[in-house]
Amino acid sequence: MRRTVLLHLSLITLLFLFQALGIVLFLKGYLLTRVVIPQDSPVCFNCSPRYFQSVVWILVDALRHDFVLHNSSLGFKDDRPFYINQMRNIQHFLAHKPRHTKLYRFIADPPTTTMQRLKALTTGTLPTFIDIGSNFNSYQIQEDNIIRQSKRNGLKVTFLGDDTWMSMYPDMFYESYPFPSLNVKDLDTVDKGVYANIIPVLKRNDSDFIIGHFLGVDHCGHTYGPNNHIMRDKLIYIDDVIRSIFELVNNNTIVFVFGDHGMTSTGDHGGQTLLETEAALVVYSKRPLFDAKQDYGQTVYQTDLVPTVSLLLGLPIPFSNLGMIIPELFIPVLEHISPYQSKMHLINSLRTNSQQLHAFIKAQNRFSNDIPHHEVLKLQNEYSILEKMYTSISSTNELSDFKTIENQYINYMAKVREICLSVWTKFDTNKMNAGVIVLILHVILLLTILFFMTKLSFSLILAKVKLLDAVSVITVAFHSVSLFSNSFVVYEGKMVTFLMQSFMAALIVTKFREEVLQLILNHRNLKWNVFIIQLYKNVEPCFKIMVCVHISRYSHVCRDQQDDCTVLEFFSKPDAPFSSGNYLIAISSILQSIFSYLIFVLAIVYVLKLIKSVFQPFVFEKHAQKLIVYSLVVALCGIFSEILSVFMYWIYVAGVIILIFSMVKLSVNQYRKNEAKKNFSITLDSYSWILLLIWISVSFIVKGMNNMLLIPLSISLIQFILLTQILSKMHTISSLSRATLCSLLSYQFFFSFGHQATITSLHFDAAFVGVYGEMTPLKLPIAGLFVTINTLASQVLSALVVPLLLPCQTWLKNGKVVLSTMHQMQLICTLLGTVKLLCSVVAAFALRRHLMVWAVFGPRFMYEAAFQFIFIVTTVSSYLLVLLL
Amino acid sequence: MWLNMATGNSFIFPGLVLSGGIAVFYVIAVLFGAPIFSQFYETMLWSTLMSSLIFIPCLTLLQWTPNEWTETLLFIKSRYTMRQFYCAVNAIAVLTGSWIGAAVLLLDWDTQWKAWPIPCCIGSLLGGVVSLLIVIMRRLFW
Repeated sequence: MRRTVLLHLSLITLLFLFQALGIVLFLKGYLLTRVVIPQDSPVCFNCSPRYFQSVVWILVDALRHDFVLHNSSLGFKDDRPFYINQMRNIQHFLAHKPRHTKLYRFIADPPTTTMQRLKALTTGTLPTFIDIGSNFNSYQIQEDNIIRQSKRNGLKVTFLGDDTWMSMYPDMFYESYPFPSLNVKDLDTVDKGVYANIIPVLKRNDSDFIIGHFLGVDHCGHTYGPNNHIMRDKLIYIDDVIRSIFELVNNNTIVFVFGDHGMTSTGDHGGQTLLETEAALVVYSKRPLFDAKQDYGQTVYQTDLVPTVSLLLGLPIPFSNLGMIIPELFIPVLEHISPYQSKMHLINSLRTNSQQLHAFIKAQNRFSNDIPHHEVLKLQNEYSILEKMYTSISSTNELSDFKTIENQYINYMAKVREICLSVWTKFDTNKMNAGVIVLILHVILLLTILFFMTKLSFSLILAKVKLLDAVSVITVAFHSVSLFSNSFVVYEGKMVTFLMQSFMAALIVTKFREEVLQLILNHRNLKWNVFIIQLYKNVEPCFKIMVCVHISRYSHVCRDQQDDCTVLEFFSKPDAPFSSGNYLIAISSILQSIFSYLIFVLAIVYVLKLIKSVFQPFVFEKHAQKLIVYSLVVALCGIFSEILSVFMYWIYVAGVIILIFSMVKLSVNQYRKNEAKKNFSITLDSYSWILLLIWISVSFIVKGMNNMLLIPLSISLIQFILLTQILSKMHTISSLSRATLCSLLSYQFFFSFGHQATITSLHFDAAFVGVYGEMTPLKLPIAGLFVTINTLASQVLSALVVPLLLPCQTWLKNGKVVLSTMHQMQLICTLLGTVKLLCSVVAAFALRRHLMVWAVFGPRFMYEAAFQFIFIVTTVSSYLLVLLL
Repeated sequence: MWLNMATGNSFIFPGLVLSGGIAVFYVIAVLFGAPIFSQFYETMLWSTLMSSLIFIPCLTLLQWTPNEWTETLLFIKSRYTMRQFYCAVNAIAVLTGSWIGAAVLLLDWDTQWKAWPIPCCIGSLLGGVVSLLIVIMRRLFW
């Protein structure tokens, strides 16, 4: 027996490693990477004139374009969305001082996460997708950037705001006022701190470059969404701050007010929808800047900010910059300057910018083969033509010549940007092909192993095609194929519940059919009343599960591409905390949490009753009462979590430890008593107890900050045990159907726990469970762990249920059958997962030029890979656990 | 001969079966994802169609005994008469057609008819047609 176990474990490990190899190969080709050139632009004195004495950046995180833009059709109606036409001071400046103020559409390149945006805004580069994981763990920026250039050229940089800047640019600032930023529920600390300090800094007038980073709008979006009265108050506050800054600055200062990205209608960001990429940029100076006759459009890329500010301050442009200066700002609008002179200013600046781009392309060509050689040659040709044109221009005085060369420069720079954009969204197809082939081989290998296994020990199962098997195969096939269609991936939550219900319906029919067969064998003629009673007896438990599945649908959340989606208010985040002073909302949120904890306790009581009925000699009878009391205490603490959150957390940890300890003691006693014969019913009995404990431990992480998620959690527990009750009695159901059920369960509850397969819908609030005060670097690993557990909880729980779904009665008879059933079940689970993984990989590969690759298929594939990983790890550990018990 | 009068009143039993079928299919529709009340008429339409497509052949072609019904519809019998065969195949084909039709509901095609319950109804009707074809084939070639 020990030999078979070891054999099986090594087989599973090998298969797992093989699969991991495929995934790693694929990921290496799929995740876009970029070679960072560790080179700085040389220091140059008087390489460009300094237009402004100082520059002020007001970075309002997540300031969307339509927050600032005046919407004349909606005006100031009371029923307009809360974020429309709130920034009246800025709108006043835009309307009445057009020579001093201008609003641009500020286009962000995806990924629109704050870390990537900050990097782009200071280096002028296009950060790739691979940096996305480092958002919680920011690090120093290696590439040449405007802040380093300022310091090297002796300018004083003052920074106020989000403390992630301090880790990105350590020792770069002349003065800094960092504030903690990771608590998304804290809307005011950063903003008030920045405002209180920026006014004296501006009055002192001793810094050349001032950066103020306001976080409140972004946090408000994450916590309450954009369409909320809190957002209105926040925007009005920011608007007042900006007005006072505009009024305070002197003639030699230029102010840039901008957002680093937008937000979706739910307040999240990270993807590439228009709502996320279109931020606002407002430029203001007391010196006139704009001339109505010169119009250069109203759209600016975020990379364009770096060269613009560098040249305005007379600094060299950072080495890796890909942006182009905003032309309007380099045309001095002064009476005593002739049009020729002002045009010459602009052309000189454009030339400096082009020189930098040329140097960058040359260096890039030396460091890597990313940019094809013929493109480089073409660009170099174009550049030399431009240089010739520039030397010839000093002899002419034609304004039209000036215009032509200006357009040439702009075209050249746009082309460089375009080529780099296409290169840094290029995939390594060879590695991706290799990864796909490895995964296909893995599936074939698994199928052969399973074929031989079933041939040897379970030849009966394949003898006759049964309804449930057919439904399982169809379900798995449909789910896998649907990964190729964006609408099915977008509505996967609905689809999975539909498939689950189909499976349950097939289960009802199978169960009923079995009973009727028995009945007909026993007495030939059925009466209608017997028939109805039989029907009721068989349908009732399955019907309960179907109702559970139905209820679990209500806690789904919306994602970007779902147009007609409405979230049930009941399950959404509470509207306002206690501190907001709105007592009606506060009371209703207390009632909500009381209700959800009530469900939590009732679910535990009900499940204990169910477990007792499934496993007749219930060992943990006495402990059941302890558990109920304990869960009541936890619930009471949870209800008052606003006050007691840290206490609650520690009470709960202590409780779990005590329970596990007592359980181990009990099972040791039990083991001593029945040393002679090992009863598998007792094994499963204690296993179900462990499942219950793990469920309680996970529940607090899964619910995060939203108590209402306890309801789908309770539903999940009830559904698991109901399924155990049904399936443990039915021997005729094949392992394939049981494995299908497990995989369906894992997806059903992934969506039910309020997740979607997108990067933006990760529950970052789970990081704050049991954490009081601000997030410190020490707490970060725990926070990361909590977010991971929160995301993968449904997979973990469903994988843990696997042993309970096996036919429990056969376990009593024969140890050998037990083992082979478990092995087979595990291999089938792996097979089903790998098939889905393969499909999502191929979908992400084949559709890599699809419009929605980063919005739909890419994230879906990454989630699937994580699911697979955790599912296999958990099934193996649950297997070991059952063997040990 | 089409209606077997032996079991009693010829209105009460069919009425019970059909209306019970409508109720059951309404519950099934809701469980599978239809809104509970907001599209009452649409859901009612589908459940009425399903109930009549599946149970009217059974009511007309089968004996009104539980044995006959369960054995036919659950494929327990080893030998089928033509009528029983049609009833069973019809039920399966109609259910499958409706199931496949539901898949269309989630697609993002911008068409008028892609609304609950139209694809499901079309699917179940097509299923009915397919079952008739199967029965004809059996008649011709078995």
